[in-house]
Amino acid sequence: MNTEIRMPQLGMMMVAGTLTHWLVADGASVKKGEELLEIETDKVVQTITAPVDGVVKYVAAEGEVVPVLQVLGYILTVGEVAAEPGEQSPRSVAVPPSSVPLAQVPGAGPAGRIRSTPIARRIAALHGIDLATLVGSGPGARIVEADVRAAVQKAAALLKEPQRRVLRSIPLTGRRAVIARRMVESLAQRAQLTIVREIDATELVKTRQALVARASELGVRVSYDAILAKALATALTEQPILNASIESGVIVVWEEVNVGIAIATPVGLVVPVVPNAHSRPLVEIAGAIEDFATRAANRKLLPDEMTGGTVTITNVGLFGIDLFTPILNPPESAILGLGRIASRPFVVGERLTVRPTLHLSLTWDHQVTDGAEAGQLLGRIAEMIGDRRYLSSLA
Amino acid sequence: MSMREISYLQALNEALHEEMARDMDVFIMGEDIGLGKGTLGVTEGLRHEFGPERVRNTPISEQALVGAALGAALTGCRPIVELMFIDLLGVCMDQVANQVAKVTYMSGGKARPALVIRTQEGVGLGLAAQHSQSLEAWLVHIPGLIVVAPSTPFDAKGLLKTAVRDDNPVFFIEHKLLYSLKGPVPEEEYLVPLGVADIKRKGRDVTIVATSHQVQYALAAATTLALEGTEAEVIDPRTLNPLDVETIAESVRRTHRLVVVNEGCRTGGYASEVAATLGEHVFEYLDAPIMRVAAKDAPIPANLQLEREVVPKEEDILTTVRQMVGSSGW
Repeated sequence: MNTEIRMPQLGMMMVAGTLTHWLVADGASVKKGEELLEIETDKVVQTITAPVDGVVKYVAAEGEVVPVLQVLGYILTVGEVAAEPGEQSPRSVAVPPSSVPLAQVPGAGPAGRIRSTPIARRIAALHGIDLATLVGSGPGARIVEADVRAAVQKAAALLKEPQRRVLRSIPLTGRRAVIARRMVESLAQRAQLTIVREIDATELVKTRQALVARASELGVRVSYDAILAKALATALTEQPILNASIESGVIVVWEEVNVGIAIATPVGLVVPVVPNAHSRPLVEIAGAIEDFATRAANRKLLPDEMTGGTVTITNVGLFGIDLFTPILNPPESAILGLGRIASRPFVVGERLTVRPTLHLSLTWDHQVTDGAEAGQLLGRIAEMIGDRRYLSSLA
Repeated sequence: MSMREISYLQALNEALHEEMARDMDVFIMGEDIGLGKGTLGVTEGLRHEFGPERVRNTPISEQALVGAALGAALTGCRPIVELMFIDLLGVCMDQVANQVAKVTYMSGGKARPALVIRTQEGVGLGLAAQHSQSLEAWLVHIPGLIVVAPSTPFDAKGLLKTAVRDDNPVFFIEHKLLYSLKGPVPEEEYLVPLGVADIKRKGRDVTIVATSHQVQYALAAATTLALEGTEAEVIDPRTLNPLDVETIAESVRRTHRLVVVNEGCRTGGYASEVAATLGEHVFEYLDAPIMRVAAKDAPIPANLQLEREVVPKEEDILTTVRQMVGSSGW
């Protein structure tokens, strides 16, 4: 008698497994219940024990990926292996080494009859269990009632688990992989935290409306992003410590303020950079951002246009978000998040009024500086955005 | 019912007393039954109470004894024959197989021999190869006979009374080692129906069908197995033919394993018959092959130690059941 050792089906979705290790040498004897081999699927590593006493005969090699229920090897009954060639009984499988492959021995192949007891078959049929998916624990690896009961229990447990079928698999490659890596790196390596201020946006809204009214004269519809980019750049020239990177243990504070503008596209986030935002007029900044937005949608941005940023602005107001915690765009040390401008209760003096307000969320790296400086920077931006004279000076 | 403990032998004796007192047509024939206790003691006191007409000693001729009883039965009497050893079946087999068992059929149902043949079988007294056999397999092979083998005092009394009242020929097989067994028997009159098995012990893991004295070994084995976590159900068919298949089948449908224990020889034995019949009924419920525990195919030795080696004992039942319920295989 030879007993097949097959790749077990450990789950409904399992189609194949890897034979990782043989734990008994080819040709060595093994006792029933001893660990025989180890298999691995994408979910688990499992050790298979010998179902009977005998001598191990390899079929599959270590590292081989073997389909479910395919034979990994055999356990040969010791007596038969030891038999003299002339004394072999007709059903003996003790073929001389390197002659007929074992898989060709009648009844040994995967097409062979599944040994099982009548009650095992009956219960399996009642519960729709395929006996071919089970490994028998009875004599000669016969499937007995206990094996089927265990499978029924396992199937019942599976049914209780929530269904989670794959809609589609998206390889984490290309731009997605770059974004993923940079975001994880940012959160892992930067001491970032977010501070938030709610500001009265009355003057900002008025100014912006006035600028939009002059769109044909200015040649561009000035966006809030442009106004905030200009204010951020100006504030950073006055207090440059967060216009910085950490490079090889050195905090490098940059002279230019190059503002990255986060733009959502169907293929992921892109951050084109407006260079020298601190020294350029608002209209120019607005034009650059408008141009970026158009070309980002058509995937026409050039790689060079997305490098060299020193700080970033990200606007999620369009999605109805009030405030949030942006993630630093490495190697930068600050990112300014714009929320939704909306009418909200707002106290002016001692009076509760309704005003359009805006939340500015500033994420910054505590390695570079401390809360006072970050708070002052955000305060300065708030001050500029609320100042009619500053705003009217922009265009 | 108010119970008292009496022996299997006393229970049989009571049954004979009661049935003879109840029905004037009942009488007993046998060898050495009238003097004192009778060879085995079952007929003690009967001659004194009912007289030599109804408790008749016969010559040592089993063929004449059974033939005369059949003749009496055909005239309307209800004779009870005592066949001293079942081993003597060979002497009277023509009367048993060709006359007693066939007369109802041959007469087109006009003749109904209401006849009981009591006998005893088995090992235990060192009586050697010609007086220790268990030959129920010979009898169940003959259509027309009811074959009974009680294993307790309660069943012995209740079944014997029912056998006497039944209009068919009944072979009533006692066992040497059971006569001294004591057990609860009601003071009041009761009957045990023919053809109904009795579950002697409930269990969920394996069904042990045992007959006659082997029921005692099966119960002892079940006690030991319970300590090992295996709950064996022990069933005594009580009537060997016709067999109460449904009681056993119902049990095996719960336990999924069946062992049949019988003191007769293994080959062509009564255990084989039960195993085969149940195999037809419960095949799809089995989790292991049906196993027989039976005597070796050998004559019974006179030496009591050797006798023990030939017939089944508690350890043989234990070994078989352990193989079936364990993972070591059968």
